[in-house]
Amino acid sequence: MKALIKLHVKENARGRSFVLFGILGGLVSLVLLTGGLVIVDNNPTEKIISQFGTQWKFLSILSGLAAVAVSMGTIERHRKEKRTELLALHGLGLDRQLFSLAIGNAIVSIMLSAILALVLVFIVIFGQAPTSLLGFAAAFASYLLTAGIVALIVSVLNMFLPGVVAAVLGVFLVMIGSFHQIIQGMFLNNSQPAGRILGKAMNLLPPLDVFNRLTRCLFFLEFNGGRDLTVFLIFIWLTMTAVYLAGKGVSRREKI
Amino acid sequence: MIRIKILSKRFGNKEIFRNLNLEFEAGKVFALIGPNGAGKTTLMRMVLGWEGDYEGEIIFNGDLRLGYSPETPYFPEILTGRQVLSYFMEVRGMGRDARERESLRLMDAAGLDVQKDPLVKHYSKGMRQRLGVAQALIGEPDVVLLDEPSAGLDFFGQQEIQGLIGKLKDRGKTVILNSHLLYDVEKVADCGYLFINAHTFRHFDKREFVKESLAEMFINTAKGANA
Repeated sequence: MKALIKLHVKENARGRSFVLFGILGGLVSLVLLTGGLVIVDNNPTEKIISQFGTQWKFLSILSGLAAVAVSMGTIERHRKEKRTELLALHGLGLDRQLFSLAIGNAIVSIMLSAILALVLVFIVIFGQAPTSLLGFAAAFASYLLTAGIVALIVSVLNMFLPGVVAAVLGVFLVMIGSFHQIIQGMFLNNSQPAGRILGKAMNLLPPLDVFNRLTRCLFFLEFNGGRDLTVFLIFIWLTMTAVYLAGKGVSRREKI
Repeated sequence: MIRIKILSKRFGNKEIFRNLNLEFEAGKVFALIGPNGAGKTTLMRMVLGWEGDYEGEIIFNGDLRLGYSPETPYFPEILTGRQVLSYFMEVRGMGRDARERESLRLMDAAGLDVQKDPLVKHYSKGMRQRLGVAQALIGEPDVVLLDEPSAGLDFFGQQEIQGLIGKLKDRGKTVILNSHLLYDVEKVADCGYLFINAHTFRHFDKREFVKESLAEMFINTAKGANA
């Protein structure tokens, strides 16, 4: 599996998308640093918190979209080019191939997300950020893992759906997930039964805003409980399990 | 030896094989000849275990190791030929030293220049086919299945592949060759099977070429089937 993961990362972690997302992330960080998009009262502490909070929110959405862009179509391409059969002949079953590709997608997405947040890293190191090294490292890790989760979900979708459809669904999941609690609240407050059912059904979608809140809490050293962390870890476990089971299912169906 | 007894193999409503009985003896070069859609590639895939949906059985004499080169093999374009071989070896769990040694040996066996080894995306069709054969030899297989290894190659490229197949035979490998190039087959095959349609096939041996060329044999068998 290691050989395929290495090759997949090498094949995908190159090209213009890295430069593009690096510039994009840098621009977002710089614009928000100058306070361009942050409207608060003249309280400096509040302004800094708002600036960094908004940065994490924007970067989180961008990294989710980057994960979709990186992962869309990779599994479909692998199968169309008939890479599966030779690898199976050399001892790597289809289920393990699919698992490797999903992990590879997650790794590339994490690398891309790290590049997206590069300017933020410099701002934190050389600027005045309300965090500690440990807090920032923990926040950064949860931010990167969120992108990895999105990549894994899109990979699972791509095992069953064409790349474009998986990408559209991926973008939908990122956008809905980024405002999960607000949208869910709207549905649950709806008096109609359909609204409440939709609200409940949203529990199946990844609550990216909860993961983002965890990132911000860790960053601002306000981590005060395990609920968000527990949801986060459960979701990582659920996603990994879904990748594993989906790979097994496809492999059994295709008899490779 | 591989013994194939297929009562029926279908793709939907289309019958590919009916009452097919074939035997592949060890150490010989076998050719599968037939028109497009006759099921030659399907037969190879059945031997490899990728087409399990059929009535009948395929019996392997002992625990045979199989190697396979597809008609249009996919190789990662960002790797060199030697790195491609090393990649497949790593998938098999071979260590770094063994990979270094074996990739060098197989590149040499396939007539690929290790010194001037460009990225696969710069490989010619002939070089890709030879790399395909080299890949099929990883793990010292007993039986090597080659699907149209000379397709699209010029005369010199075809001769190189013929030479490669001859070397495989000299090393005691059983080769199952799927080819449209009758001249190519006459040069390298010891024997083989002609497929005309789902239920018409015949065995041939190279000693028969004295009386009848493969092309004549093919035409006569097809005429007999249509009569």
